[in-house]
Amino acid sequence: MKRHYRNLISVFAVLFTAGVTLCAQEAQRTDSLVWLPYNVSKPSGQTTGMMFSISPQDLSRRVSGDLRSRLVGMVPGLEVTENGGAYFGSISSNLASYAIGGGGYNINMKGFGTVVAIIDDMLVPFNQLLLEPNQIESVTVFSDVLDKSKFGPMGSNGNLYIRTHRGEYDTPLKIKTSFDSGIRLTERIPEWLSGEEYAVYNNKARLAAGYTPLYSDEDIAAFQERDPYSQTTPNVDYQSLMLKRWLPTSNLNLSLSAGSHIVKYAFALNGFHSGDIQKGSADYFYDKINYSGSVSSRIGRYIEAGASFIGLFGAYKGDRTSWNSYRSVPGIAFPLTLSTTTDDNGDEVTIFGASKVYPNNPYAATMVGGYQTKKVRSGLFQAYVDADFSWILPGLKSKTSLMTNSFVYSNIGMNHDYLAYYWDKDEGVGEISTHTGQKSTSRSLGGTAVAENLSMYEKLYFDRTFGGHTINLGTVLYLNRAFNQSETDFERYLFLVGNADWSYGNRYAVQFNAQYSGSDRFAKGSRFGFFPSIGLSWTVSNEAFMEDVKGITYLKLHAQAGTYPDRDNATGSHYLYEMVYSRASGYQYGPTSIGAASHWFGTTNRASVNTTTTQYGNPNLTWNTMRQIDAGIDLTLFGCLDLSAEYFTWDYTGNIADISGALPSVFGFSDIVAYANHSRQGTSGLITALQYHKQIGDLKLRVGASASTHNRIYKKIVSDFYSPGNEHLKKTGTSPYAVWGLDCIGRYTSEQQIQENPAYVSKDLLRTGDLMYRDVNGDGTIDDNDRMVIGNTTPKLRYGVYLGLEYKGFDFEVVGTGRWGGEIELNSDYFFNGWGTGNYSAFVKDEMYPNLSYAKSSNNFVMSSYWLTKQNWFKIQAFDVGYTFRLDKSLKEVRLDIKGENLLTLTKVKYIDPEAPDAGVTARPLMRVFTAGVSLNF
Amino acid sequence: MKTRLLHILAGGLVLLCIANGCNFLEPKLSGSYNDENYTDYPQVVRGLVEHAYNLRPRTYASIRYAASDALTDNAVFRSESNANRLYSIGSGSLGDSPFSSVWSNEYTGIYYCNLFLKDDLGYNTRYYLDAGADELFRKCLQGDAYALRAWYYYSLLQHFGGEGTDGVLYGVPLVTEAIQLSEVDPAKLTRATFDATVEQILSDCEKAYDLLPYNNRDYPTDPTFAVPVVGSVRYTMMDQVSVDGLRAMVYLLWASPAFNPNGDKTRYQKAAEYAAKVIRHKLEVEGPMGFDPTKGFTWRDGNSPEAIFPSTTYSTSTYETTFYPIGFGGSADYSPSQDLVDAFPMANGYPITDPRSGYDPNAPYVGRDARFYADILYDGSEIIRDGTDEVMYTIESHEGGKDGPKLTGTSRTGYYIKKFLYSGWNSYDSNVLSNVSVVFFERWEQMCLIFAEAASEFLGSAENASLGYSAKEVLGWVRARPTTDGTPGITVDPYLDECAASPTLFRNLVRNEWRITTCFEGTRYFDLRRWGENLNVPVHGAVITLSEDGTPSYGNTVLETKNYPSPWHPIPVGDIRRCPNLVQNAGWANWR
Repeated sequence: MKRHYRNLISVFAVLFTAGVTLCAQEAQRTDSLVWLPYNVSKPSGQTTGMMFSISPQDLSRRVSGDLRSRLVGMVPGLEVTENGGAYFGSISSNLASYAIGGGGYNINMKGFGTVVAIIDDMLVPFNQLLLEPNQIESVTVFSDVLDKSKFGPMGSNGNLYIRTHRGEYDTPLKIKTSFDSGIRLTERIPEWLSGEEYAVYNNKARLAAGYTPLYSDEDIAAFQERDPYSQTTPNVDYQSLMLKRWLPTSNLNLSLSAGSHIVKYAFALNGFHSGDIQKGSADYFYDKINYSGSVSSRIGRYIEAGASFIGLFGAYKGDRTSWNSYRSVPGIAFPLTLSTTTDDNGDEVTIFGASKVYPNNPYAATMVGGYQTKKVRSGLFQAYVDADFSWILPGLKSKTSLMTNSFVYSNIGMNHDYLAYYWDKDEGVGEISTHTGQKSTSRSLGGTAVAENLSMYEKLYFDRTFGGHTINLGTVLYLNRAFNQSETDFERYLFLVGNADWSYGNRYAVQFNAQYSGSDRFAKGSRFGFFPSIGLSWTVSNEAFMEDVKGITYLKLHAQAGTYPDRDNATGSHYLYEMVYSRASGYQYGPTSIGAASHWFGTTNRASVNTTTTQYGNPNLTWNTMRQIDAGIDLTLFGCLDLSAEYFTWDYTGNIADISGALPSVFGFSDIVAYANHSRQGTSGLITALQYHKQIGDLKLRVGASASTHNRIYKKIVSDFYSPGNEHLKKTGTSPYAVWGLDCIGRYTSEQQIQENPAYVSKDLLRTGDLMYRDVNGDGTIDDNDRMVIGNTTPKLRYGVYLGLEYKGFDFEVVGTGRWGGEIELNSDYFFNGWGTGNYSAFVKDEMYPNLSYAKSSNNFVMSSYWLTKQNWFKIQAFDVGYTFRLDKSLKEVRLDIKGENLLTLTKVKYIDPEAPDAGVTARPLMRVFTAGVSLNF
Repeated sequence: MKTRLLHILAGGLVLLCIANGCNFLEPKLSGSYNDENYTDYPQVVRGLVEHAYNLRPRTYASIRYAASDALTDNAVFRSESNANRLYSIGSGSLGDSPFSSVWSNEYTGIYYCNLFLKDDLGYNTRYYLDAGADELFRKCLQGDAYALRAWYYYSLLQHFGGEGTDGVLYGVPLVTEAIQLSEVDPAKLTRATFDATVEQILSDCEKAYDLLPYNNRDYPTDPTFAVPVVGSVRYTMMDQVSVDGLRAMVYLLWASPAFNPNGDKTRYQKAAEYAAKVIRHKLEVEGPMGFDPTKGFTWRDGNSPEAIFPSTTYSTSTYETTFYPIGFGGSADYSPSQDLVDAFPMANGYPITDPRSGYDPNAPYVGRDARFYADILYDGSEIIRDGTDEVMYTIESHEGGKDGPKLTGTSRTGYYIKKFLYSGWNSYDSNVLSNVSVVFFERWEQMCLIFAEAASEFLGSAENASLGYSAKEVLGWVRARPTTDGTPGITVDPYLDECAASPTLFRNLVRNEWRITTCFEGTRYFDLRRWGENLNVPVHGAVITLSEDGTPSYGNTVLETKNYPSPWHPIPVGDIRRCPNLVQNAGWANWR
């Protein structure tokens, strides 16, 4: 019997490492503590939701740069998608947005909108702080309804609840410092044709459209010389001249904390530096300094108070042109430089090439065209007082906290112009172009932004444990006021959360939470909403009858259900409930004065006034309602195999939408917007995770996998009209991520086929090889009524894998993520190009490219099932190899390590990155990182 | 003690928050006119009615007026793929109807009138400091709101009234209140019957009549004359005379065979009475002021005495660029058919089918009615610059000519529209002149025709005692009227006398006069339907071939055959889909 068990386990182990996702974290177990909203810690036997904790140590094992990139594959259900190699995007003007996404990352859970980070119980725009691991005490990730509801409407999309490091009482001074440095390499950048290839294909395109080709065979042979300075047949490789393949990166962290019995403090200072992929007139860089300090103290027996400050300085110096301007002109457009001249001051000035067809020289624009410097300053100050009222009633306590956050961004640069003359293949150098070499003498302002936030909360609560029962009752009053000048917007909300929890003996737990929230987005009388939720859990393994069951070390069943409001739906414009009138001048009444007028009856005239209603009022506009149910099971078998699974379903109704499209024009609603709580969307899905951990002598092994699946569908939208026979146009029931387009059934193989079948454009424009579409509704024509759902950008399965090993002082971990199912749209300008004077991408050479022609084919380049490909991919996202020396001196620990990120991509998708289809095309290319570092703990 | 103090402070903070919480969520003032403050601004309130006026069309060169004749046998669209043309020959695509914008435009106008009338808001607002002026103005605006609402309902009824798929004679949905968003229930929206819609229009006209001034002109002897408020300053808005004109139009529509299943002749009587009232006003009140029915008028004059109820004006050359052939700078979007040309009688008043007319098929453009030369450009006609003798362009629409059929930008029929054109426009000029565009919603000749039709149906053509005028006399004025350049009309009219003796002949004569007098004014489409005439007829164009020595020979060919599934216009698909209980018009059951 035991052998069978062991075989079973080894089979499982093999299966699991073979391809399921791994999660780096264990789901919570009975004895582990979870950090919950408002600085409350509970053993997991008293919680009723699925929660995962991330420790700062786990975060510090990932490549530095941005906290979001460290979260990839960390936690089951937390989907981190990289859209572009862009932590440079962290310095931008729209950082006032609360979403943690942006800067090149999308972070979502359970199909909701972007996750928010709640830092020390305050909703702070994450991009304004960019915390480093040594400033973090704990991170709890949760997305179940009751857990989110404790934060009122703030956390509707799922939360990263981050507590910052404040030190500990009664601990000696701890100093930690680390330094790492390495390189970032650009990953794939989809190629564009070299100059001589462009000439060959351009000739083909022109011939196909009936034009004469421009480049003779001698020209093409001369282009192969690849001389960028040739004044007759230039061929410039802009990419190698303008982009770097790698850039340096380094990071320094320092933190210290200590505490006596009465006072504790913690300070941290972090610096980050990296270069930029664009070559330019100066060295471009990205620098970030993070600093924080926190002091807390116990005052008397009943009070603890503290204050903390977290600040950020960031600076980015980069080019004024977009990184992908290198491919805006073909290599053979004009010579790189024509000659030199001297300007009024006697300095030598290069004359760059340009042409009437391509009037901009991208190389000149980056080398001579100036730069921009973006700076941010941000600071968060928080003060809190915790009071113990046990002299009134044992167990009664209060927490009060006040936070203010401010952020300033500016973009200042120099806008120089370069000097360029027109050049023509046949006529040589011509006249001066529109770029006259004007050097700017003063700095120019590219943009500014300011944001401020003020929040405070007061929590009054009662905790008691008696006879195995634990009771927690609490109420929180929370106010938030935010002002974001970059979005010229302000937001206020206020909520009251009450909770009542009961648990018994770490076996049973019942939680009840009620939220009463109000927002300034609604009219008086409709501002507030009441949203209750309830949670239940049963830790079966702690029951007496489970003691004899071998194999099941841990078993917990949990479920939560409830409603709550969605903050994202209430952060649109203000005053949507108002009836808005606007006034303008109208036509003239009275006798006309134009033309051959006869004023036989009077001359007085006047202008009329036009009053229009631009928005129809709805004073009943209020919060939408999200209903969510989560039910899950946590299981540990044989002490080494952990399993978690959670099924969830959520649905939001009464989404604020402009319903004027659904209203009959009989009521006069033609040119008006009218907002009402109308739409519905919903989804359900599953998150699963497994982990196998085993210790064999000195070797500790952990292997994990997680998988999640969910989709989202429209259940009610504003005007879903379709005529009979066109049921495929029905949008209700489809996904918001569905791809709509024509159904391509192949390519025309003969003229006869063109004549026999209905076509999307007039038949005299079609040639064999063009795309053929299906007449879905059978009406004999192919038009927009034949568009249907051809795919979905949501994957059917998202998975992650993890492998960790520890042996004596060595540790190793590797993390991979992947997707299966779903489609990618191939319609970026990497695929849709090849006509007119634009540059050609390497896709033009592919056999999948439909007929190349100088005249853009309006038949081929429309969204259809031809331009979709399967989204299946797997990436090794991160690895870390380290060795720790433990010493007995004041220096306690030294660890050396090598880290990497974005290491390997396995996919059948060609040309573009399947996770980030725009990376390397419009968004910056993804970067592969290798760093080596040392960290010292004193 | 310290702790107690701190506790009290904390508690106080909490109470402060709760107390402030009520105001904490109050947003800043939006700064826009909204429901709470707009009644404080008289300009905004009066702007509701004035905006409703501004929704009226200002040009004849659109599908609502001139182009609608191309939906009938009067004219033909040049482009074979024109969506409106496809609609008229039965191959239109679902949802593409020529008048769907009329539905939303008129209902928007009604909505603004309802907003103004809601709880007598407009009537109770103070507009002028001077109490007398304010009193007058408030009444005028209130009357305007009712009158405009009646006007828009009439327009909707004319376009969309008809027999539903369930056989009931329907009008349009009646909305007389500006409704709250929360009360909108598309399922409750149904079409009122035709009769009920007419009742609504007439009741609004009643209310308007009691409030509006008599006529929007400055009469020097008029004792109620008050400069800034009534008088010519209100020209292009409604007055009692135009309300009477509207009543005449409504009664005539209601009396017409298609909408009068019981043959109720009193409707004709009312139409004739109101038309007579307006005619009397024009002759007796405006006569001494400058209105002369024996003089011609010009279309491009916003202050023309012809007008009873005009639109506002603007300067444009759209008529020229739409009607002229490409050789002269236009695009000939639609042009007159051979059938319309054949409807014009000869100068002696006899129709061309009558042997007494003297019509010569080999010289069909010689000796025709004056209105033919004023309205139609034919092969060989010259475009002469306004006020001079300069010939700017000669139309050559015979086969092979530069304006002939089968070329780009030329008419398929061999004729071009001349009506409305301003002859001072020439796109080849260095300084191209343009002229005023105005729409006469109610005009003199139209009232005469209404009277002629109504009185003859009700009384007979020669009887004049009860109304003061006889149908025959009034029709004679129309036929005798000179055209713009002074060319006299049919002054000696034996054919009219002959027709007056027979009701059938007179009816046909009246219908033909409607056709040729109001061609391209957007009446033919609706006239055919209210008379119950056959719509699905072939439409002809001219075929003019020149022989070797240049003599033309005239023939004609069928260009297309109209094909309508029913006489009624479909209700726009958008509202049919949104309102499950809205009945579509017969013949268009698959438009949903």
